[in-house]
Amino acid sequence: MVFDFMNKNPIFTVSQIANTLNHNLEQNFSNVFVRGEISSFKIYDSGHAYFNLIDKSSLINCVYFNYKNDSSYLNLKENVEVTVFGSIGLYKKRGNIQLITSQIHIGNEGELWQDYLKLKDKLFKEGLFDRKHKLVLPRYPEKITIVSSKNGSVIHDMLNILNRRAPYLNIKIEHTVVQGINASEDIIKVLKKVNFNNETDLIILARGGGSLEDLQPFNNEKVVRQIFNSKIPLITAIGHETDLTLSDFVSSLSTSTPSEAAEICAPSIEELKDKVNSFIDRIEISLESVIVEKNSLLNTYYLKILSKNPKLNIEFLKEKNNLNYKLLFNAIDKKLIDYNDKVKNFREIINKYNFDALGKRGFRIVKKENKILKDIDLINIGDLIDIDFNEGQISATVNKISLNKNKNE
Amino acid sequence: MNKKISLENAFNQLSNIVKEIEKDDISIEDAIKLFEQGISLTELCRDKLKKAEIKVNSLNKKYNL
Repeated sequence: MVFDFMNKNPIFTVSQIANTLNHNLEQNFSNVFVRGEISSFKIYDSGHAYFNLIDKSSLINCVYFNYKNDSSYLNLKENVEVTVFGSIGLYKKRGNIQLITSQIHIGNEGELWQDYLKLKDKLFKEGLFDRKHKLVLPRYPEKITIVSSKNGSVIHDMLNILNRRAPYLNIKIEHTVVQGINASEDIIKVLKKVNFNNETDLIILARGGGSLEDLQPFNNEKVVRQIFNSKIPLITAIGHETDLTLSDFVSSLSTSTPSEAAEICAPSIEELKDKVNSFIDRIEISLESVIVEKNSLLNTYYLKILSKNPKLNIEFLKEKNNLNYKLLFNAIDKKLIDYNDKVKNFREIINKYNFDALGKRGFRIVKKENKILKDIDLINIGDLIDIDFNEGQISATVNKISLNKNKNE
Repeated sequence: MNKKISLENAFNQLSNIVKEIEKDDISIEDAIKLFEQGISLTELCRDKLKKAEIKVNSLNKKYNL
């Protein structure tokens, strides 16, 4: 160290140095990839992981906050080769330089991983992974197409599971190469064909586990875009739990293994049977309640009808008709009596007129004890008799009775 | 006499017939004619009611009402 004694040198505080150092580190070593080997990896209860990254001659302290919450969480062993992504900073309390890690890739494929992260970032920003683009999976698929290699255990395991769980499915297998330089083109070709034929309810794109290099076709941009453009819902079933390819991000649903995809792509036959049975139960119950309801309604109507039993009504009508009968007879009887009376009146009037005419000619009615005398035999000498005139009556005593000669002839 | 006439209608007619007969200015011939009509109507009603009664009784018996 050479001092420039001509000028006055500033005296820094520790914090000033630490801050400046940290600032410089951040400027130069933010978002860097670092390749190395793991040593002394430890996860604390807090969920943070502390480890060292080493190579032949150097060591960097690393911290991964909330490593336990990371989807690719793994308990890493010593000497594992990794590539780490993060930012270098100074832990000011201790003066330690440390790499604050945000992602770890296991294996020696750092460049591939870098490409992967770059493409992921690009496609993410483009919105290819947005939930709104994801097709809804059919609840009850009937036809499914598995796009995978026809060789190997993956397709075998999947068919085993599907045949056991969902034997009703119509399964079609579309073979594709899943590894190597031709794989991407082949996968794209098959996906296009399946989409073009449009004869399936669901596609499962499957491949067994492998290294990042092995899974490279599923991180291929064209493949990812082809999956994005699929009009048929597509489930990815690629690799093991921790292998997340870009195909997984873009698919309708990503499963951790081909077996899991086989389990969840369609309801099991048992589940369907239960469902049908529960529908039958529900129909029966609701039918029962409808019947009960209709029965009670029927009962109500029945009672109403009973209360309208025409028996009583008929009795009443019969009475009424009898009354009609009586009224008719009364009316006609009265009419006849009236006519009788009229006839009688007429007779009296006629009689009266007759009598008057006779009176004018000198005929008189003779009464004894107020009774008209019609027979001379009823008269005795000395009887008192009355003779009616128009103007009045006279009374007389019978002095003599002379019978006509021809009387008894 | 129209056998399809309803009871109610027949009763109304009967009521009118009685009223007609009771009128003062009706001739005896007309009165008797109406009376005959009335009797025939009441017989018709009786017939109808008898039939209805038989029907209802048999129904009541059949369904234990």
